[in-house]
Amino acid sequence: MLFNSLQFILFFIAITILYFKLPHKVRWGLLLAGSCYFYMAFKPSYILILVFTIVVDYFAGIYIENAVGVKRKLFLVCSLIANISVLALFKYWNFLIENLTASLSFFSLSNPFPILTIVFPIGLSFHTFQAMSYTIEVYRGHQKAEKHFGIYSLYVMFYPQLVAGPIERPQNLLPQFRTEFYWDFERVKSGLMLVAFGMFKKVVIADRLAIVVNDAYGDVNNQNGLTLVVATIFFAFQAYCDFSGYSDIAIGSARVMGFKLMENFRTPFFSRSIAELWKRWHISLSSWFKDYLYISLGGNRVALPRMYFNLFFVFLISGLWHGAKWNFVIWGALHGVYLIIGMAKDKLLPNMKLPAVLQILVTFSLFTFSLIFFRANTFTDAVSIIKKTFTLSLHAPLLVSFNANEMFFSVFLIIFLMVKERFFFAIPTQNTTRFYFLFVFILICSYLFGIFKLNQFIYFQF
Amino acid sequence: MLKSLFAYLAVAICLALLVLTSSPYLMSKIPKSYIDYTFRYGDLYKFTNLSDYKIPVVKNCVSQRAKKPGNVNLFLLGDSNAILLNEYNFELANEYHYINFQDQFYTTLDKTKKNILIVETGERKLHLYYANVDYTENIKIVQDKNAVQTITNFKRTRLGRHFQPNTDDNLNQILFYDPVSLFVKDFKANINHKVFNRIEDSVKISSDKKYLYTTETVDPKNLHSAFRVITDEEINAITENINAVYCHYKNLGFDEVYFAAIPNKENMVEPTMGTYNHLIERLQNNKNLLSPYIDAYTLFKQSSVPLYEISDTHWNCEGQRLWTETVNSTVLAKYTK
Repeated sequence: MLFNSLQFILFFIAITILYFKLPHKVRWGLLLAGSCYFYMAFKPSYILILVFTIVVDYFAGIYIENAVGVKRKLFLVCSLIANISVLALFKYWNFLIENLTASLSFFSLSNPFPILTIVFPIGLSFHTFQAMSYTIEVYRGHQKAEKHFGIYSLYVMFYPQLVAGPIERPQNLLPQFRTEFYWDFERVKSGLMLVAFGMFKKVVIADRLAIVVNDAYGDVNNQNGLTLVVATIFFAFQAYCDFSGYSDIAIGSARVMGFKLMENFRTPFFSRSIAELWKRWHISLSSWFKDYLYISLGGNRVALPRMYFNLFFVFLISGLWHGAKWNFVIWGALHGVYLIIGMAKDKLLPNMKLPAVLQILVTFSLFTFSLIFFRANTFTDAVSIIKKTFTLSLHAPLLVSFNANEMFFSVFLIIFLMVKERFFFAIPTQNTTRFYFLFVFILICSYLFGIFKLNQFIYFQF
Repeated sequence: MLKSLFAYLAVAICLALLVLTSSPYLMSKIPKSYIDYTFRYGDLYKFTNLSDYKIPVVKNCVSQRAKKPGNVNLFLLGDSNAILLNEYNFELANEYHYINFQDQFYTTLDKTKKNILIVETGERKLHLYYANVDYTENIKIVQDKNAVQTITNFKRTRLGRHFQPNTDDNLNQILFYDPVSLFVKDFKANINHKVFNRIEDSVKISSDKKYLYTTETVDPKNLHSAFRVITDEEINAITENINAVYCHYKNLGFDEVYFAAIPNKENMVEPTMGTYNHLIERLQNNKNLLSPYIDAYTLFKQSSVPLYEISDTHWNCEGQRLWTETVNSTVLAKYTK
């Protein structure tokens, strides 16, 4: 079920009211049933994959907790293999086979493995990573194994963050399912405001900018450099509004019921370095990689070359996490290189500091440049965009389907968003009259200026 | 107490709406008059909500009238054009049965009458339907009159007939077609149109601003467009499929099976919009075509009055009258004693 749908509005109202009306001991059942319906609204059969992951990790958690020594590690490895196998099958199989076919054909050999015609289950990478986080934390002794199958299932399936995060940690989320939350109007107001503004970011900003981005990136050969540069900058804001909008709705709808999900974005476009940007962009994923991969590889407690390698490797995997395409791998690698250069610069030239505004601009430019690989349909397209970008003429016409008013409006929205994020990161909701006014105003604006085509969120594909 | 009552009422309404709209079976029980009500200003207005095109569409062009039933049982297997017709359009038909392409109709054939089948397709769907759809599954002949039935959406799986995951279109259909909702929708659409020159992607406005068209039929790259280049091989392939349908139903016991294509609105209203591919004429003139046809293309081309609704994809009352009169005079009259 998409957050930007009528179906979700009705679902949200029904689930939230029932949540507060039902006795605490059965609330988990309501949330689990609701989450199943939420997920099955995409494609009912997808739920079987989730059931498999849940069953495997539920038992793995218990076995890991009860085992000692090598057995403990063995159970963890089994659980990780099961999770990664699901990901590999649905997400990476065809990528592997395509590359294998290309490699074998170089030696005039044919590939015996078939390409699978399966649809990628929505949000698979998110809930798989959340499930893996549980077994790793149980293995590390930071989390007790959850004995209640229903509550464990809910940990993996909790509907607000099921398909696109934030990727939660068991220590944060599991205890909340056992906490009895009461109706707190202040909290409800703040949650609803987050939902409303998240919706605004998605339907008014992201989906409007997407029109230019999709046109330009869909037909790279017939676009000029200026159009592609504008489309790439728009894509940076589209991706941000799309994903942070989703996160806001997820965090807000959970907050209305009392749940506190982790923050996923913190004004990333005001970052002064790529390292800082990754502490503010998709925080739940970057911290996942830091906690479970980077630290496992030795983190900072290794020799400098090894640390650089670790960093590069983590970002390479992070790129691959986003999608089974070489473009994503390059995107990840580019960020690895950015970070290594940034760290090397800090070490070699610690006193060299640009003015803050320039640092922000450079960071944004580097990030936006990397997005060319993220968004381009093929590697050839990405190269073509870069070539055209470096040979652009400012006198070339802007080949977009926007009229002057819509172009102006889009730029205004971006500036408005940046000003809002800079000065009012959270919209205040203490004053109830002002809350009602702003809430209704944001909803009206979202409706009047929103693009409603039931567009999926970009990150659903991951 | 009152707060609780309201809360439970809200839950009940939300759940009821979700259940209703996620069930194709329950949705099919909604009265046709309500569905017609939501289309009262035409399907293209329904998509765009441009108030300049909010013009009522006449749904029942032919009122109940005395029939002169003859010797013919008429079966019309067709699309949304044929939905608009009824038995009073075919005054010479003894029995009239409309079968939608999405449904499966189990029927007996009365051998004391002439059983005539017309397979009607809009030009925009013609290629797609004959390329992908097996029309031979739509009508099944049974001997027992008790076995006569219609299975709606017969190609869907059993689960698909009872559960539809995405309910938004249905919710919109049920909740937002009252005058107040339309006023709000029109307001949004007009802001976007006047300020951003943006209308719903699936609809285009004609050059003279008088008509609405579907984008798919205007875009020459689209499979549905009559301005798309179509090769002789494609024409031959479609002809073969028409022949297969013709032979199948002839073998099933129908006395005659007619092919009928209703021209796209754009190439009748605004033929200068692109280069017409002459799909209908090329099919009708194909020397391999076995099936007799009802030539709506020539009929419509010669007409000097508007034959299509302004804010709807389909024909208007005049278009329907012209076509059904031809069916009456050239097909039904032929078999009527």
